[in-house]
Amino acid sequence: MTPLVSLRGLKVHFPIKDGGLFKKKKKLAVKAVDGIDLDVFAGETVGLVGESGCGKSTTGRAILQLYSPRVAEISGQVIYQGTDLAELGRKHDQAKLRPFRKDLQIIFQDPYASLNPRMTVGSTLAEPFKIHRLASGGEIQRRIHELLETVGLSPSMANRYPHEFSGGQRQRIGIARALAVSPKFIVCDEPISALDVSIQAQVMNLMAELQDRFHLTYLFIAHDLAAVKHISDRIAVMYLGRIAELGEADTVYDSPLHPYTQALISAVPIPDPEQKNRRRIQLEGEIPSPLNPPSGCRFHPRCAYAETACKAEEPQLTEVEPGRFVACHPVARGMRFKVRAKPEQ
Amino acid sequence: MTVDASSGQTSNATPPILEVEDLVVEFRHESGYFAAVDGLSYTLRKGETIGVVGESGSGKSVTNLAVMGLLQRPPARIPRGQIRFHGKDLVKASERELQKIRGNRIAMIFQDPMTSLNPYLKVSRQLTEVLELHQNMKGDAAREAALHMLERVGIPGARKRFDQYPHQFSGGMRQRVMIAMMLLNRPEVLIADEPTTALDVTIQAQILDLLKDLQKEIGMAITLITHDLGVVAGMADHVIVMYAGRVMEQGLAVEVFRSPSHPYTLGLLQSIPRPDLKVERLYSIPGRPPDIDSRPPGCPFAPRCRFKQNVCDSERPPMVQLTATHRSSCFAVDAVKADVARGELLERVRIDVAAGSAKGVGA
Repeated sequence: MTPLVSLRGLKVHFPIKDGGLFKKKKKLAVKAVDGIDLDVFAGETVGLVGESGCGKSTTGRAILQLYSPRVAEISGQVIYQGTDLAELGRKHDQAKLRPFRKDLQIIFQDPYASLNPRMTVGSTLAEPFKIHRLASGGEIQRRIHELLETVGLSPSMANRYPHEFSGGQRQRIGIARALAVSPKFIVCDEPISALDVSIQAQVMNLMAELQDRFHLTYLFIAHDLAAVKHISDRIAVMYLGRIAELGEADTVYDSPLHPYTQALISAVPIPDPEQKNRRRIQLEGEIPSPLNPPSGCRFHPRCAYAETACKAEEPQLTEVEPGRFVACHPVARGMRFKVRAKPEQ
Repeated sequence: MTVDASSGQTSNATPPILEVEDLVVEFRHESGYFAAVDGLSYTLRKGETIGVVGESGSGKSVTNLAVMGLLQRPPARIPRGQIRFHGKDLVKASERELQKIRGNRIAMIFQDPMTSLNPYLKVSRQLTEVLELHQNMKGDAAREAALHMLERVGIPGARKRFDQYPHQFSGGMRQRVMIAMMLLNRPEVLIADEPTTALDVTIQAQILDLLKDLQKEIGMAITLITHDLGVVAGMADHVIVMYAGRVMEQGLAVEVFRSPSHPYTLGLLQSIPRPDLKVERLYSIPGRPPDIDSRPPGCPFAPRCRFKQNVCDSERPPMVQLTATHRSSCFAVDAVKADVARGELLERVRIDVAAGSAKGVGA
């Protein structure tokens, strides 16, 4: 089966100028994404998790070519149906990119900031139809009403402004906007993080329903591991611009192999007071700067199992078990660290 | 059996430090006063942690601003209730009296450590100021004590970082600085308002563990305000579930999480994805919380409740005492309990829900 979207050696670097007023300028770059390979297959949901600054959102935006070549240096490939979108992005060829923008859409974290406050919801939703010349006149109105119903809102709400809606409703509008162009692939960038607990379930359920109904493929980016595990078929764990581990959601969650994944999962709070004293792996310090990531394995300065090779050589994402990929020297050699995310009884 | 709103918790050998009794906080809003907190009672003892859970607008933060004496009155007013700190009512205390307690014996940490630190002052200055103000320490003695505390909360290279500015610290480090600042006074009560919400999960774990260690060490009591049920389950001895300004349910953490007795608590527990369980479809509570000026006269949760009876729309449900420590404000307590019991454990209920016995509708 060929993947719907394939990332090959994707790097996203943001150059910055440094060196003060009189000193010679050094060339530095924030290496937000620093070489990732990932295949996303039609109809699945891949969860992209990691902590702030690991590059998960940057990856999502780079797939859609949302960065101008003036701010970001993107290398590697983003292959969608045989076309390298990264190449078109580097050439800033908007005309050639436009047909793909219809197929690849995004839902943003902050439904307050991602809607124009001066436009009615109806006119916001009409834009994609006009830009992509998908409908005109009364047909647009009909499609907007249909969209609003699809996401569980009333068609009469088309005449209202964003401030008249709650956070959850605004997120539904964001989803409707993404759906307007009948996309195949949607990057969901922290779509529930800004919502209240009781609303998060509503939005997650809606997204699952829409996926079934329209055969959508999701890249679900979030820092909430419990939500990601719930909604995803597979999970990719990122650390400092690289993928540390990739596999089936349940497998990665229940028996993580990479020492970072093990620590990350053990830190997820479980809403059960009887598991209050379960074992947690404490990580020393914080994520290093992506300006100057550590040599070899990026995780080695914080890793309890680091070896000499880990400092010198960057581990590649290796298939250690069928469908399970881990970037860790000892794990690739067959070592298994006995740390489980399950509670100690 | 119903009881009045006074102490719902067991009497314990240790005397209470903080007692909130039938507290009502109202805000003036256009046509009149609306209750942001309506009838909250709890007792906090030495070394205990109470978790206050609720969504935006549930009144959980307002409660604690009231305890700290930080409510601006007007537009706020406290028409009823007491906040007793070692028996003294803080609602009636003067600003001078409050200043002696605030930050010293009752301390607070906030969600966003950047906005609560002064960006123009070095971290060292902000820490020593606390000692000068409350402990009468000065000069090198204050600096040494402050530096020691910064090391204690786990700032790597504390000596080097001591004279840096807040922007040079990461989010997790800033929260540690806030904790260090608060601890310099060895407060009896710590109010932590979403202390880890802005932090990554591994940093969150570090901060929560740090709070637990320090609590053991100095025996402070903690009021933890959060929307994260996982964090509450990991920290709290007692849990208060708030909705639209009212207490829906309160009790020991084990009671609230294992035998939820209010439809809102049950709905919340069923609507969060559990990392340790497999659920096909989450239950979702339909609708959304009411705005402060349009709350229904009866139970505020009634419009979203799947256990609703006719009486719920018009009458305020009484607090039903379930055990010495556990109580719920609901007319349908028995139905909720039966529902939980039918599933034997909450897990079972969740799986039933996933199989389609309950249906969530969009907001």
